[in-house]
Amino acid sequence: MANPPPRSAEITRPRKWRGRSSATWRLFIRNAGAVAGTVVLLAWVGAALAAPRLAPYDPLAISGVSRQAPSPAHLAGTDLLGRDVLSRVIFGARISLAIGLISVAIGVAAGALLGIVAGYYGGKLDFVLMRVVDAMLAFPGLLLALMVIAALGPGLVNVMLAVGISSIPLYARLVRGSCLSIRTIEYVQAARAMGGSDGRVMYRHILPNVFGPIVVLSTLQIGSAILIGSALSYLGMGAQPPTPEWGLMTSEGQAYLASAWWISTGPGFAIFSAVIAIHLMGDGLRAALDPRSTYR
Amino acid sequence: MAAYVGQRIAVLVPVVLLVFSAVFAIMHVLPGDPVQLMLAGAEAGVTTPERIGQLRRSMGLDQPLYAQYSRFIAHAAVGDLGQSIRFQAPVNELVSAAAVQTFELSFAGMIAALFIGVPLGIAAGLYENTWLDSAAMLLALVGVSMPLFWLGLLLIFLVSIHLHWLPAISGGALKGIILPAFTLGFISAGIISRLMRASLIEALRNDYVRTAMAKGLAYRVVAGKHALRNALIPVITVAGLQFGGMLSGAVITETVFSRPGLGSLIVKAILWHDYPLIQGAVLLTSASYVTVNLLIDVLYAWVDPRIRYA
Repeated sequence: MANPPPRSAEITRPRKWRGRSSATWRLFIRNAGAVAGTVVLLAWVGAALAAPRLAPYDPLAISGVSRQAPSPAHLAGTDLLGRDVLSRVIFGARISLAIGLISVAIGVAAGALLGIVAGYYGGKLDFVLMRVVDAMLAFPGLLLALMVIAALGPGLVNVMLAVGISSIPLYARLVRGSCLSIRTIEYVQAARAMGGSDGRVMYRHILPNVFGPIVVLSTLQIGSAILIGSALSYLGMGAQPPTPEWGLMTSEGQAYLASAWWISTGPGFAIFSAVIAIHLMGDGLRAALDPRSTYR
Repeated sequence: MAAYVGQRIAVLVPVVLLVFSAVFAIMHVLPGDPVQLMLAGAEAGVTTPERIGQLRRSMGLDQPLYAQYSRFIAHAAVGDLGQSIRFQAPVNELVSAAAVQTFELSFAGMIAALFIGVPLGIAAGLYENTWLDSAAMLLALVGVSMPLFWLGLLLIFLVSIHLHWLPAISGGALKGIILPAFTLGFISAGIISRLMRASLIEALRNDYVRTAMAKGLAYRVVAGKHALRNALIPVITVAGLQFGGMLSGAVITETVFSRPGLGSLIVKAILWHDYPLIQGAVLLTSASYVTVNLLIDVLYAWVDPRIRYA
């Protein structure tokens, strides 16, 4: 007796598998906020790269009267010394983006290394490293960066170091957590059984799996790094005059808020727009990379 | 419960010791002579060899490193944080006076954050995917993207300079704390509203909500009593953690509004190279931060028994 063929066995054309990266891209591109954020961020990157061409004046030169209100000649007005605020803001993009990128690079490199070593080897080493991380987390946010500045002295390079160091615990925790769960999966065991060295297993088999969360955290961290970096400069611990740094410029204009509001508002808005753009992009990236979100 | 608290405190001990060590290390990784730097910063560069020698002896800097370290830990453990160079006064007194101000500000900031964040989050959660929800989430995004000092300046510009509603500089009056509190609370308000929204939406999907609705209770009662109470637990926890974070936000807020406090004291101490004062202020701030976080953990475990047996 022959069984009738099951009804569900209709032959359908197999759906073309486009892969996760393509789905990620489509999820990202359909997120209006993420796209808007990316556009604004790219505009700031463009401004930073083309600053000498874009800026109407030399950011350090006195190009007008002191504290002149926005006008066609000086679109964002002039500051206390008569320097063009718009030109200074455009050049400031270089500094803030550099602080964001370099400090995040420091944080990722050191934090990921710490986290992967702690998670992979476990045991006493893990305990000691994690207590160090806990101790770093015991200083609330800005305070850890301030301590590093207190030790190294004020300056832009030290701000990058300070912000980078204060983000190490975040990466260490993230990478360690993922590493703990990944190292027990069969393929890691298999790689070790086949004689892969510890370094190779960590680099080739574990690290690629933590890549997504690291990218998301780093994107958002660039935003926080710009915020903390400009805050340090605002407090007088970072860039020193006459550097066109956004936080420093905001603080320079503070005393003249009543008579010349544009000195502080321009650079402040620059920080805000760059950071909100990064947050929008980072959120979009997180949603797109999340395996649970699906393209519909 | 006692076992849980004991275990939490036991983990804290090595952390606090490491924090002490890190603070101690500030002075010793410095390139150059800390004493000369301090005198240049704090006493306007009037440095005679006698003064340098005297300060070095009085701070114990002429002793070997391990002796200095044990001395520092022993003194700090009993609350002796040394002498400020700039003020020629015990660090303890300076720091504790400033701490009162900062706690006042943080407390007011927390009230502001809850006052904005909780209603906003509830509204966004109840009216999920409406314009109200989008507006609340936009505000949360603005909150985390806003440089605190710029927000403070904008508020001074609008509320004090233009509208003359509130003073920009707080002269001890209650009115003076409103703007700084709002500035400090704004970031946390965003975080709290996001969490309140997510937590309420999740609570509303529970079976007990469906049961209550099936009983015929009004949605207002179900959402307001059954769901909201459960949804508030994680919000309270995060609010507590945010309170600790406000200690660091105070650094900027106090500077913007020229308020005395731990934050502005740390900034000034760093600019003056007054290392004993930096050490004391940083120690007190991080100790308060760790303690607040511990209290929140314990409180949370008390409210939700699942945590202590995990």
